[in-house]
Amino acid sequence: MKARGHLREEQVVPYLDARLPANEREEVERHLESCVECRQQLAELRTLLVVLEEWGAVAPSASFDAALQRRLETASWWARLHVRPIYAGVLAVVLVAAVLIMLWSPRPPETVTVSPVPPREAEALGGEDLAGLEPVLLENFELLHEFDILFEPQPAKEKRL
Amino acid sequence: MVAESDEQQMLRLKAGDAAAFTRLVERYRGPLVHFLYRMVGDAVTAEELAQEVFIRVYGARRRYRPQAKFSTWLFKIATNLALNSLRDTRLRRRLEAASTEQVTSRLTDPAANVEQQLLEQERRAAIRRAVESLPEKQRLAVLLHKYQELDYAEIAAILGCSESALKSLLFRAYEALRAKLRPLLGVRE
Repeated sequence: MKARGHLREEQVVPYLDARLPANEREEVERHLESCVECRQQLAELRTLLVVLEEWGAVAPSASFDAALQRRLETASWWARLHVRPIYAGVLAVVLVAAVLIMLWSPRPPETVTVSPVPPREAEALGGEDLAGLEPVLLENFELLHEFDILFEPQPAKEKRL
Repeated sequence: MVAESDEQQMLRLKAGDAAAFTRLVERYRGPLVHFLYRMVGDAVTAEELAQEVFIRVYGARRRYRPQAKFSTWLFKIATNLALNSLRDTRLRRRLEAASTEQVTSRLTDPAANVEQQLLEQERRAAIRRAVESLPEKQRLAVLLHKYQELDYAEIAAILGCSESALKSLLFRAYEALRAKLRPLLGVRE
């Protein structure tokens, strides 16, 4: 408790609110009769409490109840799912991130195709049989298996002398 | 007919009476929006926070026990939400923008008695700035005491201090306001 030499700190506001017990109020009033400084201070504080009322506040808007109702319904919906809205938010972010990753992931490597050789070019190359062939996918290993180039030459069997 | 207490309304709500919640909203939406507006300084945010308070109350209805006054509990929730909101830097930026808009709208108000209106608005702005400049706990004490007219025991419970400490806190807050607002008190320097 901090003494101020005149009135005690914790006496002042209850005195202004008329909430001091009778014996304390009489004690304060006896002091005020003889102390100009405290009288001045209390008069100013009284005026201050009136001046503070000038600071009004806004009233709730007409849409307050409707907005509250909507928010309650949303909150109840999450509660039914046993998911708190904060976790629902995290879940939503994770889902969006997953979708974005899927959309922006690098495309698979382009397959190299060998175009069929047009008939005239095929003739120029001296191979009529090349014309009209379907494109050949180089990734089609089953097909490529038939090309000798993919196989190492078989070691020649030692000939017995 | 004597109106049922807030605690009785909460017990009704706990038992499944949705109308009890409506009555609590009707009783407290005004005081809550007033308190939160003075705390955060922005009407839209004050409404959102007041709705959040009611959502929390509704969500806690099954666990409710009438151990303390309902209004103490309600304003404790509101205080916590307001403090969290104030600590949000995004709101601070919005407030700065809002105060700029308010100044602009004042200057362009076409009402006849513009000078008188400006004077009153300037007084209100000075009071607001003075209250906002108080340390957080002093500000809360003033808002709950002066504007919400809660009793000492309730405010002390909300702020987590003794009644004696609260009375000293209020004294220091009002003394600080007296010094800041001397020109409005008609006091000669």
